Amino acid sequence: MAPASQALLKESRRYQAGGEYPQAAASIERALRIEPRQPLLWLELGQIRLREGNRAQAESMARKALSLASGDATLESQALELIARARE
Amino acid sequence: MPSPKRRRAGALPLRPLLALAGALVLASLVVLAAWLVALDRQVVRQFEGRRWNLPAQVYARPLEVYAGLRLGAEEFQAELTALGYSRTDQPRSQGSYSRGGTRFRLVTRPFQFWDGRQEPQAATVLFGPGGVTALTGPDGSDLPLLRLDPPFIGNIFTVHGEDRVVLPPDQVPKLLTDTLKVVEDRDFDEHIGVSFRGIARAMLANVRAGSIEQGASTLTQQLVRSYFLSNERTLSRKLREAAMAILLEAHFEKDDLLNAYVNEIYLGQAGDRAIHGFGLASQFYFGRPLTELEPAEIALLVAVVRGPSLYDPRRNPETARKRRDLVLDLMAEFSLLTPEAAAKARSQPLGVRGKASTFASYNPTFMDRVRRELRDDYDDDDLLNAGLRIMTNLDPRLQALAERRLAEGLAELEKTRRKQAGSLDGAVVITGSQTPDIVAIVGGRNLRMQGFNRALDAKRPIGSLVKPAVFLAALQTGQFTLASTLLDAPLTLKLDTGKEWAPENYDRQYRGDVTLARALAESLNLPTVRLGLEVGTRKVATTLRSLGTEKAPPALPSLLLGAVDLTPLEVAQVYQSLASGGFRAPLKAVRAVLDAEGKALARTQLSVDRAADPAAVYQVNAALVEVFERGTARGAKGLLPAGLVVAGKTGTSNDLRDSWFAGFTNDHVAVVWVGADDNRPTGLSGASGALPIWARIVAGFGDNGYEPVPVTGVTEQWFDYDTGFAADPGCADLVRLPLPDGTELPPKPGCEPRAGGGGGMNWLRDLFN
Repeated sequence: MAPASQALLKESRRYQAGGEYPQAAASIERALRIEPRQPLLWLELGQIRLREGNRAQAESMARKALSLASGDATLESQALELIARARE
Repeated sequence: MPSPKRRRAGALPLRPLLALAGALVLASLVVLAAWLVALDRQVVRQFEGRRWNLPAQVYARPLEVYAGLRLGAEEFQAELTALGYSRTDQPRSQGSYSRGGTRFRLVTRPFQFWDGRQEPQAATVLFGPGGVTALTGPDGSDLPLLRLDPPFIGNIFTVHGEDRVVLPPDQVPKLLTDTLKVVEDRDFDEHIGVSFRGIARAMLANVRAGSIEQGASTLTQQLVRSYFLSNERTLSRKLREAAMAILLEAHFEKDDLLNAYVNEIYLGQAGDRAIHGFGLASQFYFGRPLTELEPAEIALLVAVVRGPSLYDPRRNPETARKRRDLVLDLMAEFSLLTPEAAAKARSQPLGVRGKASTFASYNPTFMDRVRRELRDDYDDDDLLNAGLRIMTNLDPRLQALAERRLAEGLAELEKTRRKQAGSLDGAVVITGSQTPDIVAIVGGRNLRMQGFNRALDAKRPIGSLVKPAVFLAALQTGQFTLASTLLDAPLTLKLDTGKEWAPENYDRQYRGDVTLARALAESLNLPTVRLGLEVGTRKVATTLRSLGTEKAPPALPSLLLGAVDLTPLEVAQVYQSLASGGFRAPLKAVRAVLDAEGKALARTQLSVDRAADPAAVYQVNAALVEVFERGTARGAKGLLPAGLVVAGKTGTSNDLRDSWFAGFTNDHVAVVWVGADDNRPTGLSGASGALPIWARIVAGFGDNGYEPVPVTGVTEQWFDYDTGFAADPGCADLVRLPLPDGTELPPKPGCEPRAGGGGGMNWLRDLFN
């Protein structure tokens, strides 16, 4: 991940820890405009959406992450796990 | 005592006269009172209407700078210039920068973003041949990211073309209001709307030669004149003006009146655009916000008040300078400036930036889309009065690029095709490739001509732009691959209407069996119709709908050749879903809406929905790259930077009425439409009309080439472009395209691949590709 995205991911995690999900999502979206093919960012956004209770978008984001995983097994299993949790 | 008789004998009977006079006076008073009441109502209504008028301010996207950003030093400087950053040797104040070669040092401006306030930041940006190579903070350590303040692009008004930057009192420098009072109206704080002392002083001053001409009108009277009155100089108008000024003063505080004046007064002309208010004038003359102006610049604006045409600093710099210096003298005389500061200011050039062409870009067709998106959630009153701040996705560089290339391209087409100048028009839409951001909209070649926004409102048949949806529907069934073959031969269809339909290829040739890859790349009609009929027109219609058209098109056979009317924006939606690997997200121009205090009211949440199978989209897109290698767009390769991989599709409607091209790089999707407003045939195919314009726009992006992330379920394989067989490169035209895992290709008879299914050859080819 590019340092710019990393910094924004860190910022997002800080917001998430404080329960400020809209800001947390905004940081990830900012990162996605810089690095739109970074599956970790889509996955992170999916996780935020799930915490916000938006199951449909959580699953969509996980699928998007999956489509960009290019064979990264860890990431794929994380994405599949998110899909499963979104469907619980 | 005079006798009654004498009185009667006299010619003047006093009592009736008195009564008459009394009645006359009474009547006049009544008329006067009625007049005043009417005036009063008018004055109050107008002022209230304007005073609270804080139209929504619209901003382009903020530029995010980071190491690795593909942006040239010149483009970066252009952004800073557009933002009105001033160039100095030692950038210390916010909104300033220095440049040495490819190294920029700058201090950003603070800005209230939707995710919080961004404080000013000092940074150094270093550029290399590929873009930003380093970004460091004031202590020399690496900065991960630097967000500039977003360029202001305009206000939302009900009336087209009116433009203003409305400033609240706290954004108006005191030096400006003090100077205005000293120069225009010294008794402002005391008078009741008109100033008899001012009039006397003005008469005196006008007698004395050489002295600065004193205005007889108070600021309040000037404000009234700007609000209500024409510029004719009659006594009745003068009286009306004075009465209205007194009424205004009776109702409102001095500070409110002064603030209204600052936002209202006429200060210049940019073409057909009147420049009202100091906020907009500051942008117009200096390209910077009012709060950042130096005393010399404030003095110049105050000088211009007296006569925006006579003291136009661009046309009459000498006259303007003389008056500016007089204003500076007064500023020193009244202790607004120290004598040293005034002397320094006098030595400075006017500092007016060049042509009005560099003035904050005015994008009526993009703003049109912004307005439409906002209309769903906000009523007019909010937009016009609530001081909202609208953050958009506009990329001013790409917007300007698209506007220019479209206008040039249409003019060139008219010239080379010997068409009447102005007979063609067009539209461009540019979006992000993975994020659904509308970054540019060009609604026609002449943006000053308000009205028809072709990018949003021209619904036109899309022709072959529909074909990727046909092929996607087919590949999603799993019954076809890009190496499968279709028959390119005459075809006659009996329609439900009883009529017969016999579509033809564009070149009226027949090729026998062709691969799907070839049929799509070369946009062959007959194989496409056969494929679509086999898959089912209903499936094609739902695929198109799922990619993003507003309605499902009628599932008729003619749909397979693009008999469906879409706007350029809808086409962009469809192709954005392809570019993003089969995920649909509603395209948006607006990113966030903030209230006057900077609190986020609404944010466009990034959302995506799976529109198609990513593996099938991956295969379609690979064939769309072949459009440039072997297909209908190969002629445009030379217009693109060498080696830039792009994917796209031509589209032509019946009788050459509409010429389309839609395609994408790794970073952006662009759609170009060319046609005539009266729907007359243009003689242009997608390849001859829209494509060269598209290619010249995309060449200016500086984007990364299209390079999709590999998806699971497909593997790149070599096969013969014509037959779809595995073959030897010596006797076949091999292409390497994705096929579903496990696809077994039969060997081409008489041209069998050597060394086990072409594997050895593939390895060698891979090395060279």
